[in-house]
Amino acid sequence: MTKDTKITNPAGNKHDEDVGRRVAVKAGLLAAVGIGSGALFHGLTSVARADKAPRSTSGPKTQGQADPDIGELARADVDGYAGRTGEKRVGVPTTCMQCIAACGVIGYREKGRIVKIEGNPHCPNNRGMICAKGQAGVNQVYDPDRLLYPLVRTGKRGEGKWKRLSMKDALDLLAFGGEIAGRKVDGLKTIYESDKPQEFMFHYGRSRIKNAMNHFQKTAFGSGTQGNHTSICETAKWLGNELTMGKHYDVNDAAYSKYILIFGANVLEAHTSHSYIAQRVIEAKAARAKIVTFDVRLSNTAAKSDEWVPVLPGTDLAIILAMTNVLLNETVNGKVLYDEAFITKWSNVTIEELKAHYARYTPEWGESESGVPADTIKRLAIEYGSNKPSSIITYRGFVGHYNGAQAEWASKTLDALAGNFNVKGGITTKLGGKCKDGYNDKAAKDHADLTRKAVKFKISDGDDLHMPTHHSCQWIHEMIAEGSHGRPKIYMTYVYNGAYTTGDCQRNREILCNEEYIPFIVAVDVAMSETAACADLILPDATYLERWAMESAASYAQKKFVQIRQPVVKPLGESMDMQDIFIQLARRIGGGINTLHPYDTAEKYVRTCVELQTADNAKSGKMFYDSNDQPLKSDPWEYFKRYGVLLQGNKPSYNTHAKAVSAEGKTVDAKTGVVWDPHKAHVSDTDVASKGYTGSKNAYKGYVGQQIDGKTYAGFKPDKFNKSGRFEIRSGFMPSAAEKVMADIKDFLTPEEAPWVAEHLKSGLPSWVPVPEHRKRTDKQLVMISFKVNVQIHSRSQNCKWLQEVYHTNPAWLNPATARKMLGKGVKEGDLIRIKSEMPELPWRKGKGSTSVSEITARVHLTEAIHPDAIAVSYHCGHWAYGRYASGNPVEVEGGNTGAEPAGENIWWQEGNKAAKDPTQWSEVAGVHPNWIIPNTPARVSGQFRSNDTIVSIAKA
Amino acid sequence: MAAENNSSSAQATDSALPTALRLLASVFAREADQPLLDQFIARRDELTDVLGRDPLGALTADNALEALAVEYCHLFIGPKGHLPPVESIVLGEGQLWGPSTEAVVEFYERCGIASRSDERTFPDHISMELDCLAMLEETDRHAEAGNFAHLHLLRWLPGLLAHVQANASLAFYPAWLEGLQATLADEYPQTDK
Ligand code: SF4
Repeated sequence: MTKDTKITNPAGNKHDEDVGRRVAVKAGLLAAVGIGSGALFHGLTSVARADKAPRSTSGPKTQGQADPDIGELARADVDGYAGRTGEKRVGVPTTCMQCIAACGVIGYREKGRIVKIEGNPHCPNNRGMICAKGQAGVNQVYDPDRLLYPLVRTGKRGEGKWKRLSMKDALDLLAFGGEIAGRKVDGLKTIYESDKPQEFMFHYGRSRIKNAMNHFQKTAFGSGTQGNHTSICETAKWLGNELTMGKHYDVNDAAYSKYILIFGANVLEAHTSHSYIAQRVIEAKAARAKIVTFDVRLSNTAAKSDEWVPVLPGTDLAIILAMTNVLLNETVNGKVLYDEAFITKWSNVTIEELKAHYARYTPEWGESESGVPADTIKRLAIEYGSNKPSSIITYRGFVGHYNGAQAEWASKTLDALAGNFNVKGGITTKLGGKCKDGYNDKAAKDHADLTRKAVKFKISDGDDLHMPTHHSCQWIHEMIAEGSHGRPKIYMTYVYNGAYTTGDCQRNREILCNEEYIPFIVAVDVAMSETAACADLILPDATYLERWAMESAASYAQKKFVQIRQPVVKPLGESMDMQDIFIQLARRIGGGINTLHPYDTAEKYVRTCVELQTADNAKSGKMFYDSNDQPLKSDPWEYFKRYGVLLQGNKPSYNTHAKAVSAEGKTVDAKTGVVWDPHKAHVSDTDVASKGYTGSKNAYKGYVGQQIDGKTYAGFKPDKFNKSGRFEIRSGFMPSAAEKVMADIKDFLTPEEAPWVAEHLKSGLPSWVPVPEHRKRTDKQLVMISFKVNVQIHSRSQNCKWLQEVYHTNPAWLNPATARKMLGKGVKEGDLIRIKSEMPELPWRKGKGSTSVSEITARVHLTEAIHPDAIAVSYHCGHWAYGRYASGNPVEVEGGNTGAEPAGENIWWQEGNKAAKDPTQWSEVAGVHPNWIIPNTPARVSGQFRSNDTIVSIAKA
Repeated sequence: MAAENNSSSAQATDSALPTALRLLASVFAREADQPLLDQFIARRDELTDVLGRDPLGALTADNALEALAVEYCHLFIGPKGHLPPVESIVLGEGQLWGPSTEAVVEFYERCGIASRSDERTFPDHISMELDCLAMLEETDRHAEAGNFAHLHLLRWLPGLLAHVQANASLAFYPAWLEGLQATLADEYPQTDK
């Protein structure tokens, strides 16, 4: 008997030598007589015997996808390599969803298993290249902690006691209600049939199924109580863009830039368009463009730049304002640095107005706020203004502050002033593919009488915020607890992990676990999460490699295209595509919502989208192109499945704002020159006459174009509010924020500053707003910032084994000089420190502005690669309910094995203790999460989560 | 072939092993359902005799179904501290559908066996590997069964048993796993390999 097979009999019951035989005989008899073998488990079946192994006859198979030969799709360097099993390897083009960039990928399937992911060369954005995170997507499918079955809570909420339900029973419970751990809950049907459909709240993370989601919840169910996740990263950026250029999403045409300024954006490691902007920035660098990165940290992006300029957190706005001042006032070889023609024709200000306003923001003033030398500001501004096309890339490090929206507004102004808008190598507005939608454009039209006008509880936009155009998700828990705007009866999260990703994690947990606040929480997710741990019912979602969707990303090739998501393998276990869950729920609820879901499967829905667009193309003269930019001759659906993309344009498109449009039959607003269609915007003739374009509710939805000098142009189309089609440097939407902002900041300004800051805020031009609390920071305090690294996404990749192997702990970056000053001369790399939040409460947020937990511990990383007034703790780490890899909690099996790795191979789990019992404390195997001590208080103007503003003190632990 | 309602004890003994393996597969395939549990409760004494101890312990007809469902979830499904009863995980490959799973699938193929088309359990799940043994025994392929047991199930059963013994709050799953391990060790001694 081998060691493996030795019976240890640790339970102490007596087995004589023949016990096994006896068990077999008796158990066999027992089963045969008592149960009948027909009732017993039969998971296997007989098939033709394989003569020679291997030949696949089992394992997950996927129907409906292209199954093209590898040689047709693969990149040249892997073309035709033999599969590991000797079987044909099938390449399935689909879309990555490890991060938001949505790169085109090919998933390779061999014997029913995904064996590799690589970039799809036909995707115009990533052009066959992907990042480490994308490659590790395989781990999402085969994560040992993956949710494979529905689970229902059996203990107290958050206690961690569950049992499995079948998917049918789970969907019945959600649709019809029932009893959960001794408490009765209403189901969706009851809410749907009541007069308060808004009691069903849907809160989504990275969903990429927006149309199906909105159709189910809003159009068919009638609830608009919806939360998203945008304010965690970029709400303020989107608002800054909407104020000026209209659309929320900007595209840096980096490959052709001669000069790139990067502010608080780690494009070579993590970005909204990560892999494809990274490759284009590198191309620019290869073409000798200069790259300058302003960042608190020497990120890998900063390290690859020509210059790194360390910035005091929250002062990027001051630098931008000062650079704008330089651009307005300096000349090179007798030439001005600004583009007067663009400003005069397309914006709503004059150069003289700008010069007057920006006069105060000298480089010396910029230095006084940011610590960046005035000479540096001046030199870089001149370089930027005289090496065109140039562009500014910004992101979360730039906007994750109290003044984030103002900073973005100011940066777009600077880009416009330099003449970089919509030019090759500059910055452009989003150009994204669009496909007709099987729900909006068919089901809702075919059954218009059954659609509903969604009503909502106003809990997604915070309280008393100025323009949270992309909402303030981190404040939703607080709004629910407060209760005066209504509370959902069913709170359904979809791949959203707010308990971990927003601040004040302890408060998040307390609110979610309170059944009085929310009677029924349903979490749909691929992996267990900190939020799902507080749910009553968990439904297992199919991973992005197991499902269908119509995808469209902002085009960095400057030509529109749509992209497919199709399954590489069939969903494992009982996991189910959320779009199919909607269909199944609609069937159960019945009535109008059922009729409004005419497709049996998500696959049929996606196929219908392509067919509708194909029909529309035929009618309107538009067309699809193949990936060689030629008009598509074959069947679009078949081509889409086989190559993964359908181009909707075949040449790069710039200067889109200058395109002429027809004003025929439309209304011209005398005040703004906006050409619009009031009927499309549902604006009455009376309102048109009395309120005009700017005063009529949602008039922007009828925007057609902008009249300038008697001609009508596409202009800078508004997206969320009634902005004109001009590039609005002066914003009519911002003076009204002045009062609220001043209420927040006035106690933190000097008597000299207060009057001019107030006056500037009312001007409607980009103006200085300090991060108020930072003004009272003492020299014993630091600003804590967060950041992301190249092999992890914010919160949802830590179940990926390959990525966790590379990055699983997050020591706090601290400048050695600061460390010596604050922690003593003997401080060493790796010392354990306490980081304590000392964030003052703003008057507006008294009683709600601080965190329930005020302290975390972390090991320190001493490095000069950080500003001396800051401490940086990355995201990704310190999970407490996201599976064994994320939390560093291996499952013990015999012999000290970790349960996931053979002894001797699992490096990081052998490094020290297992995960800390208290997740606010440093874990040697999983690090710590900074959000415990970051307040959720939104930025007043945009609702942005202020992830980089927290004032802390540090001490040795 | 498996005997259903067979009154001949000799025939029953011949078919006992595959039926026993199927019973064991049923115990681990999913939570006990009401019919299975009813039988266990009705035949509690026989069950105790089979396993050498009472697997139902303090469980009663009123609470057993729920308690065993929670226990099954806690030990095998999760979402925390569980060990999926599949070979690739217990052997430490770190991912579902790992190299062991592929090897199991290849073994099935060589034996003319495959997952049922409606079955979404992993091929290297304990219940599937037991079903494989049952199918081989049913067709008098004892040597192949022994080979499979040693190549696969017997290699990882001790790890699973250790996890279950350390984490179980009820006697049920440790008792059945001990019985299973004893059965396999006796039916497929090392010399059969
Ligand atoms: S950047 Fe990386 S993770 Fe993001 S979509 Fe592209 S390949 Fe996936």
